[in-house]
Amino acid sequence: MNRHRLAAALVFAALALPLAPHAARAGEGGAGPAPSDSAADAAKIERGRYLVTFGGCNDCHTPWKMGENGPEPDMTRMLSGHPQEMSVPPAPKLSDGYWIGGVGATNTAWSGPWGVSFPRNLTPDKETGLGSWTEKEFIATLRHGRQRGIGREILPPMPWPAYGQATDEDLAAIFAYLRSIPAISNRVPDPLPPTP
Amino acid sequence: MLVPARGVKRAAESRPGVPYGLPSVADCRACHESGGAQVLGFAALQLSSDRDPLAPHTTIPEPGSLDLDELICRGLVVGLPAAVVARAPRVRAETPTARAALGYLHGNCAHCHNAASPIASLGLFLSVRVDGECAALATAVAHESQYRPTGSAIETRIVPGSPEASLLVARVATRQPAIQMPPMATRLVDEEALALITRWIVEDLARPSGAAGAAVLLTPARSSGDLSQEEP
Repeated sequence: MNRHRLAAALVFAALALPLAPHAARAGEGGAGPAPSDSAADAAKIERGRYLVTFGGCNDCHTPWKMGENGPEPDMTRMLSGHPQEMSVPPAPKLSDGYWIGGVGATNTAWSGPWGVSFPRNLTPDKETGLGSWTEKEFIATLRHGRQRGIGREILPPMPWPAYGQATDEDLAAIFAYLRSIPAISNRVPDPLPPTP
Repeated sequence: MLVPARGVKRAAESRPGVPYGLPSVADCRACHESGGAQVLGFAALQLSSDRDPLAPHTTIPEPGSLDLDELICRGLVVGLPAAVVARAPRVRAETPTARAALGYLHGNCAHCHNAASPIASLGLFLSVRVDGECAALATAVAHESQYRPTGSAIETRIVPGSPEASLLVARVATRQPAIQMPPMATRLVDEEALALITRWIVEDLARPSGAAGAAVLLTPARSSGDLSQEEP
């Protein structure tokens, strides 16, 4: 491309003259489970279920409760993140040294040098979960460590640098599974900044 | 020296005591690849010789500075629509304040908040088209936000006449990482822009016709042609 054409292309693109219509893409859509009879979709969701289970997503994104055998995930709140009604006391102050962080009893509040982070709602609730997200945004989030790929930072302990190494196919399977689970309305609080 | 792919959190200071970080590769690409042009600002409105005197941080260009006229004159840009060649593009708005505010949102927010962006599903478009369509009025004013700041009752992107109830203002006015806009590569609030946007919401949008989005050219710049009558 010669420089004239390049410059024209840049300016023309930036004119924001007719932008492409907001075409529907795969993975977009409203909230709620999207059941499918197709065997391929069922296999994809099952693959996602396997990866979510194997990947330990419930460890942080499902609130834990004290059961008969000790702490266990409360599966009635599966993957709905830190409970919105639960206010947390200030994170413990740790002396300088080896210990740098703490975790709340529900496993859904984590403190450290980054402040306090609360695992988000991964259910397909449209207002408070991933119901309004696209597959592309979900994959970009795990690839780049930012909300929807270009928003605020994903904070520790979310291991996005590891999960971001997964294939598009696996991440899409996880997203498909997360769209298939029951939607739970739960607005997870914003992270708290570090205290000076 | 190349910056590590993950960026550098504290590379310098924006001003004493305020760290400045170098963005990661992914962060660079987030802004530079989410809009129509990878070179931010190399766009018709920003290059236009029809300068906006109320634009925040505006400067008077040196004689002979490169602008759209000069690019066209030198033959470096060809194939533009006749209307754009005939008249320097400008943000079309009902008042000078609205022109400056919409121009600021276009120049500073629309490279992510546009209809072709990876986050188009948010439905918040802050771009201004030279053919007159103003997406900010249509998608931000009196529109409910998906995001709700914790502990706040604010739930609308822009409330005409009420900056304190407008989430856009709340996010521009803070540098708390979870809330701030832009979400990256900035540690200081743009106070001049914040004052402009606040004034626009209070003085312009509260007027009966303020949020209607009627596009009116303030003054003809180069010819009597009206861009809104041209096919884009």
